[in-house]
This record gives sequence, structure tokens and C-alpha cells, in this order.
Amino acid sequence: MRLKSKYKLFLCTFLFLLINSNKHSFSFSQNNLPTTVKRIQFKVSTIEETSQNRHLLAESIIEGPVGTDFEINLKDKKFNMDAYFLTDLESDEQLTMQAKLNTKRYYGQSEKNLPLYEQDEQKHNLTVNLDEAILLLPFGNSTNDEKLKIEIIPSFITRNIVDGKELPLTIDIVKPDLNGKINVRAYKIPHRFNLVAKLLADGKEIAKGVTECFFKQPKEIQLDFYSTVSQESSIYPLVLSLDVSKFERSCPTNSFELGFDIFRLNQTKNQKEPIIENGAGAGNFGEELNYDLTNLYLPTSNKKYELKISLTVANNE
Amino acid sequence: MQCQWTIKISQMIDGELSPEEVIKVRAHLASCIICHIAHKDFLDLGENLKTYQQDINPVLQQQALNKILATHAYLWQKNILLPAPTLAVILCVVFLLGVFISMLNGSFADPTKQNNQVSNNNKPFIEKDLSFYDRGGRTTILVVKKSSLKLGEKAK
Repeated sequence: MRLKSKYKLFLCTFLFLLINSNKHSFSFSQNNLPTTVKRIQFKVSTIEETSQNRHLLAESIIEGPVGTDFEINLKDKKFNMDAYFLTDLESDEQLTMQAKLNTKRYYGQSEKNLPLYEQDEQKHNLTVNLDEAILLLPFGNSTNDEKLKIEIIPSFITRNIVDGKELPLTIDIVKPDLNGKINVRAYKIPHRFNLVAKLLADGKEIAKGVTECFFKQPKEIQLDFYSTVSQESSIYPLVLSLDVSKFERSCPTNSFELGFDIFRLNQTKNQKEPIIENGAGAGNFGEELNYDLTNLYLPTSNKKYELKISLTVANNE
Repeated sequence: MQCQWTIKISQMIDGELSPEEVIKVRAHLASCIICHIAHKDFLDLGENLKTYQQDINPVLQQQALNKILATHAYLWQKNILLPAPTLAVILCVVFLLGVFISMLNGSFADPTKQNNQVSNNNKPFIEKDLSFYDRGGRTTILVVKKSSLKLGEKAK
């Protein structure tokens, strides 16, 4: 009997050790298994092209997580160009790119010998398939013999990561610009945000709107009244038109800047009446921005109206 | 001390007197010590001149003559007189020196210099202002097929 119990004890201990060792080895191997991540590359090539020749002046390769944004700057005495590219994955084979092109060209001198500049700002929303590229012509698509071209070629690649460590964003300068006239920068910031807007009457929440908004893209949201709200207020639903214009990393929380217009929707006339135009706000993520609308929303109602806006980074960012 | 006959003695040595005059001069020579000494001096001088003439280098003679004739000649008007073999040697040395220098610049040139020459092909963009490409056109952005770019074909 005693011998049997000893065998049982030994068997139990052995099994326990075996299971634990298996668990350990399994988890260990799982942690060390390389997993693959999809990343995006942008090959930015600056080319001088003539009718007979094609001369590569500078080349950089940007590689980062999907949603990496980048800038290309051309700087010289008489011409500056800042091209911002906000990129996002549309589908497995397609990218969306918001391109913002700011140019400043020296035009000459005024009668008072002050410099005159020609400035231009363009915004383009582009959809780029994998077999396509972006061609940026800083001086236009003229028929000059000598043209300056910037070719941006996107491609997806997969990389192995070990221990779940995120791969850093890199810029590989394949051929440096010899005179610092061309600069390339890249960064990864969140593009999607969750916005919550609340309307309060005498401190009580009477309407709410929730939406997801994309960085630097205007979004309109109408606040829905709760069923308990009086007839007077519900005639005038509040409408916000806003865009997240800036994201900044800071401590302890990141911050944002917001531009907005606030309207009240007159349902009897079916028209939007502006309350605040070209408003702006700045704050930290997760904190509320407060705006007093007492004298603006329904001035005759003798109630105190407040608008509270809060922004958070979307989960998938 | 002088004698009137001394000139006659010089003329006699030069063969300018008639034979009658020579007889008279010789008779005088026998009795005049001054003319005797002068006669001896003339003869010695003549001998010396003969030996000097043999030693004169024709080149030096020509140089001296040139010097006398071209007293007011400028530098670029002066002639340089060189013996033909010397001139030939100088020309050969100059020619060989030229060949040597051209060889140094050609086949023995520093390879890094050649690379520099290649990299200087980049110079157009370094030296150009961006406004070189500017004809006033507006910045354009296009989506194109990758195949239409042909990147790398000529870019190398």
C-alpha cells in the first residue's frame, strides 16, 4: 500500500513536471516564432530629364508601417515647395493619398524694392493602385527640354518581427542630394480619431453625436437630442463641421488641434444657421473642450448651453 | 724723341715707297737710332698682329662685329647665334620633354581624377538654381503607371 502511494506520488510529480515543461517550451517557442508584418515603402527619386537623357539626382527609400506619412521639400533661393503626403490603406492593393502642395516662387521686386512672391496651395485626394506611382512635377508639365521630376513609387513588403517588437520607420538615402536642395521626411501618426460632442442645457446633457473622423479631412456631425428634451430645443439640432488639423506628441498625453464651424439646423426653414464660424481649439486626447453657447444657440430660452467636444485616438491606430 | 723719317719707315714696311725712296730710307736707318728702334718696333708689331689673327675665333669675330654694328638693337631684334649641333640637341630635348608630359597626363593619370571627372557630370544640378527648370508652370501631380516611368533604365 505504501509502495503504491509512493508510485502514485512519483507519477503525479512526473506528470506535473512534464505538463509544466511542455507549457514552458510551448510558450517559449511561440514567443520566438517570427511573425510577419505588412509594411509600406515609398521610393522617392528626383530626376532631371531631357529629351535625350535621364539623370538621377537624388533617391531615398522610406519604409514604415502602413499609414506612414511623408514630406518632400525643395528649397532654393527663388523657389520653395513643400509637398505633404498623408497615406492610408484603402484595400490590400490600393492606397489613398492626400497630397498638399505648397509652393512659393520669387516673382520680382516691387517699386519699393521689396520682394514679391507667387504662392500656391493645392490639395489632391489620390487613389493609387499597386501598379501605379505618383509623378510630381514641381515646375509643371511643360515642354521644356530640361524637366525636374519627382517620382514616388509605393510598394508593400513583409518583414519578420521577433518578440513582437515593432520595426522602426526608416529612410534610406540611396543617393544623397549634393546640395541639400531636396529633403525627405517621414513620420507615423494616428489618422483616425473618435469624436464625441455633447450639448448641455443648464448642465444636463440633452444631445450627443459620435463619429469617427480622419486626420485633416472635414467631417460633419449632427447632434441627436435625447427623447426627454423640450420641443423648443429639438427644433434646432446642432451641427458641427470639423477637422483634426494637427496631431502632436506630448507628455503625458498627445495633443491635437481642431478647426470647426457650428451651425444650428432650422428644421422649419430647413437651413443651417451659423453660430460659430472658423472656430479653433486645442487640447489633449481624452479631455473635453468646453464652449459656452448660451448667447449663441438659443438666446431667448434663458438656459445655459454648453458644447463639450472630446477626441480620442481610434483603437486600430 | 721723334724723327721726320719715322713715317717713311712705316710706309716702307707697308711697301708704299718707290725703290729710290727705299734706298734713301735705308741709308737714313743706318745713321738714325730713333728710326732704327721704330723700324724694329713696327716689325715686332707686325709679327704680333699676324699671330693674333690666327687665334681669332670666327664666331667671336662675328659676335664682336654684330656688337659694333647693332649698337642700338632691341632685345627682339637681336640674333642668337648657335652652332647647328647645339640647336639640334636643344630641339630634341624639347620634343622629348613634350612627349613625356603628354604621357603623364594620359595613360599615367590618377584614377581618382578620372572619377572626379565622372562625378562632375552631376555638376549641372549642383550649380543650377531650381529656377533653371522654372518656366512659370504650376506644380502638377499625376498618378501614372509604374511601367511608364522606366526608372533605372537610363538613371544608372
